[in-house]
Amino acid sequence: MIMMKTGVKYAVGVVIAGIAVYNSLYFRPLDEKLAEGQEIAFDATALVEEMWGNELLAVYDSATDIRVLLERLKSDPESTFEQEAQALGIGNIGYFKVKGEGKVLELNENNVLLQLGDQSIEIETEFIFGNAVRDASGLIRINDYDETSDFNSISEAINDKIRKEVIPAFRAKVSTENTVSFKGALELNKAHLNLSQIEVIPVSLQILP
Amino acid sequence: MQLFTIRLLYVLIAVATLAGCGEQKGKSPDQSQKVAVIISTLNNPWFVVLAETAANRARELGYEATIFDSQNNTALETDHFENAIASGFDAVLFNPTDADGSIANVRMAKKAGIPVFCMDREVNATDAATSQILSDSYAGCVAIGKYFVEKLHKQGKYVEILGLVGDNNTWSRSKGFHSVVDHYPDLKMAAQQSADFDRNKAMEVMESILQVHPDIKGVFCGNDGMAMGAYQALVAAGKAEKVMVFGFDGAGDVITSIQQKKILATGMQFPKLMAKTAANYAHAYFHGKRDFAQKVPVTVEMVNQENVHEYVAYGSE
Repeated sequence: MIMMKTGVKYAVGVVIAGIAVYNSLYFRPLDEKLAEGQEIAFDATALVEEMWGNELLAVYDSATDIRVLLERLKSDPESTFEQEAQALGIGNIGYFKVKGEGKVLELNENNVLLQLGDQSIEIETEFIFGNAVRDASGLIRINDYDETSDFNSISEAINDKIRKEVIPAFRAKVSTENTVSFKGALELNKAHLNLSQIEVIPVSLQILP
Repeated sequence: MQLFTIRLLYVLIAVATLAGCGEQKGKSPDQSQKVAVIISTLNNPWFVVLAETAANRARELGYEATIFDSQNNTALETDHFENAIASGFDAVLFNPTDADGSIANVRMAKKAGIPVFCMDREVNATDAATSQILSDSYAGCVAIGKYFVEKLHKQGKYVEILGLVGDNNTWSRSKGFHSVVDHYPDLKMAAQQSADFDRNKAMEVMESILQVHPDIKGVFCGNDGMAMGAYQALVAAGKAEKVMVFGFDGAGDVITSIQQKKILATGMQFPKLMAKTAANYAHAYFHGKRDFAQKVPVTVEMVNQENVHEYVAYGSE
């Protein structure tokens, strides 16, 4: 009987210890844990909402016609980069504001292929990532932000807005043979210039009647 | 007579000391100025290239240059700063060990009137360093993330091996990568672990992960050393053909491995460009320039299976 009681005591003890250990041990992604407790002072989404229409889209009104830009890049890449490209700092990558009109050739999983004269270009509809739209605009400067991560989050907010508001409405209506007017950003590498595959991240897309 | 000689000696010593002080204060640029190159670790070829290029460029510009290895230890880094200040170094070309932990060292140099130019890694303060020349790790990893999604066809289990958790580059790279990959719910992160940018640690981490998750399809590593370590573990487990490995840096062995189709892609940083820019900035500082941009990003370019023939290890200068 005493043995039995001792056994029950041990069993209860083991169960309590098990519950205590189970509830005190968690496995979570390291980035999630480190992000916890950091003060969220900067709201990139609010900033992008505020500047989207009057500032961001407005600067894209003055974008260069993409066919003109591509001709200039073919004939004089060095000075075209110097005059037209926006870049954050040092390096080969430049961002351009572009606009144009073209006929839809193909509707692909990740893009819509447009024909502009003898040049075909891809309007990205899937991979809306990176800093092309932010940096081509020339409006947002890294040294205005103490935290580089805040600066990067502006790109994420811009890309989110494009993914949620610009792309779905366009993809729902567009079909081959439509003519599409676009404004957007183009990333090019001046040391490894490839003009055969042009990918534009759109900020505005319009199907023309 | 003896008293006169002693007094004369004192006067001469005092004059010599004052003259020495005057010379120190009024050092003309290019003459006997010293540049300290303080690097987080030299246990990684990429940082050796960064350090040696910075020191060599400083020497080309006419300065004495000495390299200090912090061995990823902020306490040792503090010793190097104290030594640099006490030994009369005139500028520090600095690769920090810890974005927060290194701030005090930069401030110490600033207080002593010594400009600090950060290379590749930043400190979490915009009023400490004279300028910070930084790789745009976030943008580089966005490009890698996109390539990763395409190569894995938007689905499968993958592993992320992080660098030093105290380094901002670790999180910039991770965030850039996840800013793309997290949009694909069929890509599942099976494990995320730190290996401190160390090749051997990455191999051990990968070996452990493979025991629990033998069915992974991809590994994203925060630097090339860890990518090589992860690849070694995959070879040992007989899975090198089935798992795609992605790195970041543009180191020599990874560029070769991309050519041999062992590693899929890396983000080419330009350590020589960053190091030379930092040394040139110090030179400009000695000649009176003060209006440096606090952060100067240096673009990162993805090197992959399709374009590897266009690149050399550690990029151009």
